[in-house]
Amino acid sequence: MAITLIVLLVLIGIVVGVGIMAYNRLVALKGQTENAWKQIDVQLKRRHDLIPNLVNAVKGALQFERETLEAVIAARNTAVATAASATPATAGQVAAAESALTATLTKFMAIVEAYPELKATSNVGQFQEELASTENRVSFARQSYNDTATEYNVAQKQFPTVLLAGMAGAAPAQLWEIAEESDRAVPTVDLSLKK
Amino acid sequence: MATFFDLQAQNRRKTRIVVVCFVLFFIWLGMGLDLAIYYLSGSSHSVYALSPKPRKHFYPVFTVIIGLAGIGIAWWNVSNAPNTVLKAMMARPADKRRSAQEMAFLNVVEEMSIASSIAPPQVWLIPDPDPNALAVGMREGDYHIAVTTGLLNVLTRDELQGVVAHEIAHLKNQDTRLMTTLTVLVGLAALISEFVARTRLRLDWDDGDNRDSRIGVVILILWFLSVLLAPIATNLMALMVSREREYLADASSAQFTRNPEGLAHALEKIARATGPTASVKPASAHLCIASPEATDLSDDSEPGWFATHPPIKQRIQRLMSIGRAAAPAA
Repeated sequence: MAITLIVLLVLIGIVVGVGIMAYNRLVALKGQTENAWKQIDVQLKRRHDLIPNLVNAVKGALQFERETLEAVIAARNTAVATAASATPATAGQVAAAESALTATLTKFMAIVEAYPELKATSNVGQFQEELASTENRVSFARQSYNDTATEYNVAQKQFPTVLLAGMAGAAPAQLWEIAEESDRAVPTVDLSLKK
Repeated sequence: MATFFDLQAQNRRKTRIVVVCFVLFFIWLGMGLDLAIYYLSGSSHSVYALSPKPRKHFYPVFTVIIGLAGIGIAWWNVSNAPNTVLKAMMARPADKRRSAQEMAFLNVVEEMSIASSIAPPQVWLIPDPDPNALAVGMREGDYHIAVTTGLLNVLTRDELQGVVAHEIAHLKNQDTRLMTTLTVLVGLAALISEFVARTRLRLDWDDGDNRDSRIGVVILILWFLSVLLAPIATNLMALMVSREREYLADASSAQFTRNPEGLAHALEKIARATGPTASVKPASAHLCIASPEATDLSDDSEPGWFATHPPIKQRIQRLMSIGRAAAPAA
């Protein structure tokens, strides 16, 4: 009798222990996912703040690319304005403004790449590095969010965490995807006329 | 697939086991001596002349002194390890104003800490022409990454990214915590062993008809053996742990950069630089991305018992197979 009781108690203990671990895992993953999402915002904000400085630094050397520089600034200002008035409903607009900015920056970087003599100027080289790094940071923040959110989503469907998903307030997280068809296309830059 | 969560838990457990083993080892160091003295002190001779009267009393003097001192020294060393290791290599903090290379390096570290969502580590440069890299750190907020100037000179940005991601993976998996602890303890074991080997302990005992003194002698011999063998045992332990960690960090690097070929090419370049990394001491060899000893790229034999790293050729092959699996059929 006593043995049955002990075995029963041990089993209950194991079940409760596994339950607590599963619950904590879900809560931790939820926190990590939210944090990774905020990190994207941090990196976008950083990009917005950095672009005017970067453009100023190379404005002199890139006089003949005035149009491209202005396009970058305009796209940046749109992105800042959209981000400032962002509500959950306008998430699509924010994404669109950001991808428009990415497109102008990509084009701009390709142009700078085409002038080897410019790259030799130290502040243009630095500018290129900073810009490349800024773009990398944004995309790595998104990648990290997607990795974390995937882990979170998978955990919500796996045993034993699936049983506790409701209790831990877990809901599937939306992955960051390229929204528009036009962004999937690699931008083409025609440099033959620029000189 | 093991997640970071599992790996961290595993590494924390291993670190605890290692620490407990060492605490037991230090207690044995003291206790063995005390026991030997106890058994030998009944006779007319004694191992040490300090005991005023040859009476049968067990005073755990050495147990307390060596145990406490050993644990204290180990604890102090482990908590200062990042500093000690970096100082020994003459590392200096990287500065973005110094050169374009350093600026790119700092940026790459930032990018990879975002990709892996850890707090940005401190970034160091080791003045050494041989390409190598390492990470040290015990806890988040006290993470350090150091690369040699030679590494910055030979790698492209993509390759550097692969190497930095590999080091960040070590930090994130808490490999560095385990490895740093092991590094310190390997050093300490070597120190104790050397110290004992240099000490002339006078050993007198009865003609052998006394049972107690025989036990005492046996304990003393065991004590000497364990002290002399400790460095070898700790070294093997560190090596076995570190080899298995390298493949894992390579795979995580591929996850963070989404570009396994970057690290593969970097490893190729590191291996091709055949010279040894002079500024890395043997005790911290297993912290590095590639063995600081001179390397031979053609070598794909099984790693020897004393190899700190798996053969670079095998690591490159595994990375390239990740690359092939990820790339669309072309």
